[in-house]
Parts: sequence; structure tokens; C-alpha cells
Amino acid sequence: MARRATVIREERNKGQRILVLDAGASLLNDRDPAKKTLGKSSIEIMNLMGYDAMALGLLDISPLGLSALRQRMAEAKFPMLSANAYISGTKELVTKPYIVIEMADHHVGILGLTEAGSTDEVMAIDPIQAAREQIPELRRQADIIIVLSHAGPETDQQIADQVPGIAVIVSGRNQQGAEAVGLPSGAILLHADSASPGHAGENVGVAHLSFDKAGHLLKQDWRRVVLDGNWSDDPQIVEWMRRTPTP
Amino acid sequence: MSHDSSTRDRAFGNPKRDLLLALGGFAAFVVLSFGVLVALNPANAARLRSLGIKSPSGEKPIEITLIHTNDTWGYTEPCG
Repeated sequence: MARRATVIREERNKGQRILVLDAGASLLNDRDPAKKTLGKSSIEIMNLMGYDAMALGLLDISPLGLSALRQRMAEAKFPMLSANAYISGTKELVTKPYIVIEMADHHVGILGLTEAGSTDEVMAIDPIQAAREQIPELRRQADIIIVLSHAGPETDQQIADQVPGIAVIVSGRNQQGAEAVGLPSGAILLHADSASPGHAGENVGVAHLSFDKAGHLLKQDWRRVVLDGNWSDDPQIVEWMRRTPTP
Repeated sequence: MSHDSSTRDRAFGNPKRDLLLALGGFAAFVVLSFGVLVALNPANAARLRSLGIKSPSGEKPIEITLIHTNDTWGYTEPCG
């Protein structure tokens, strides 16, 4: 995390417009302190790093339950998004489906998607259906559309094929390698990392995106940053880690 | 006499035509007012947008740096 924070800080220091996004399954899994604190430690550190939004994956919902998840959402300084995760047996979404962020004189719409599935309290319906329903509405409010998805790569590509107007899909879940893929629709699909036990959060994706005045993606320059020993630790995060015992 | 009569016609107009004009003007006023009220009502904004009103767009191109992560599982170590 300390190296990730350094990458983010260095990009911020370049004085460009920055979005910091997470495509889900980043609150907790099998390790402390996130496991012990039910994701509270993850929220604290993502707040420090200045995340703008996160999609909810089922892994962020299932181990917590609704009550603890709502606590985490209240602690977060950024929205956790899902356009297809409903409280079971209701038509009520667990959280906001999307947000719109103003950047210069543009409006960037960010829609969150969860992989289809269910927990005791939450039912995540077909993300393609949710994207079909929500993105047209979002397009009326935003000229640049980013989908933050934990739906999986095949589903993400189907969404790009079937739902017009998407510029970028930031994709989560495990898939082949980290990459930036140009899709036939003109959207690009970005994927930073594939997690495995003992190895998660080791890569960050950095994309420089150029849009025309109508919000159409003109060009992109993407790179995967491997958070190896060439990166120094961010002092603020080091201090946080000193105060927070880790195994 | 005929001169007096035509002068009176010009001064007072045709009562039937004037009535039609007045009714037409009133109807136009009602329709326009209703349109303005509907357009200003937020509840109708989304419906009007769906009829083809354009998305917002900027006046200049924009460059954005997007930093993204996924599936970090809340790990603080080994590195990321």
C-alpha cells in the first residue's frame, strides 16, 4: 500500500487531472488487519490515498454483511458503487449506482457493477441488464462514461458490445494478466491485477486518457506499474502502518 | 355616408375576427405557459431529456490520468 500511495502521489504532483478508482474486492479477504477490522483498515488507507470511487465486488459484501458494509460506506470519503446489487427481496439498491464528477467543463460519469450472484442479504442481478438500464440515464448527465466493474472480463466485453457510449471499463476479478484492450465499440478495457493468496495489490494501472470536447476518447497511453522495490514507501502510509499492527 | 361607414369599420374592426384573434392569443398563451411550467419541473426533466436533448459536453478537450486498482483484498503487504 505504501508504494501504491507513492505512485498516486507522484501522478498528482504532475499537476494533471487525476481519477483514482478501484474495481472491487479490495476491502478484505484472508489477511489482517483488513480481516480483523472487517475492512475498516482498508477504508482508512484508501481515504488517505484519495480514492475517488470503488465498485463493490461480492467479496466486499459477503464477509461483512449489510450492517458492517454500511459502516464502511459511512467511513469512506469516496462512494462505493453498484448498479446491480440489491437488498434481497427488495427493489432497493445497496448503494448508489453511479456518480458524476465535474472535471474542468466536462462531466465524468462513473458506474459501478458487481458480479452476478447472491449472499444472505444481497442479490446482484445481471450486470449487463443493469448497464443497459443505467448507462443511457447516466449519458444524459455525463459526456465521459467510465464503468468500474467487478463483473468479469467476458461480461465487461459484452457490456461494451451491447451498451453504447462507454469510454473506459476498469475491470476487476481475476483474468489473464494486466492489460489495456481496445474493444470493437471503441471503448478500452483496463485491468491492473490478478490476485492470489499472499499476492494481491501488487500492480497498479496508470492510463493517460485524451478526450475531445464532446467527451470522445481520442487516445490512451496505459502502463502497468509493478510495485516492486524500485518504489519508495509513502511516509504517510508508513506512519499509518506503524500505528496499525500488521501480522 | 359611405366614407363614415368605412371609417367606423376600420376603427372598431370586425367583431367576429377580433374575437377569434383574442381566443387564439389566449390559447397560445396557455400552451406556452404550460410548456414553460412543464420544462421547469424537475420531475419532467428526465423525460424531456429522453426525448433527445443532448448530453452535456465540454468546450475544450480534456486529459485525465486514471489510476486504477482491483482485487487488492485489503493487503498491506507484501508490497502493493
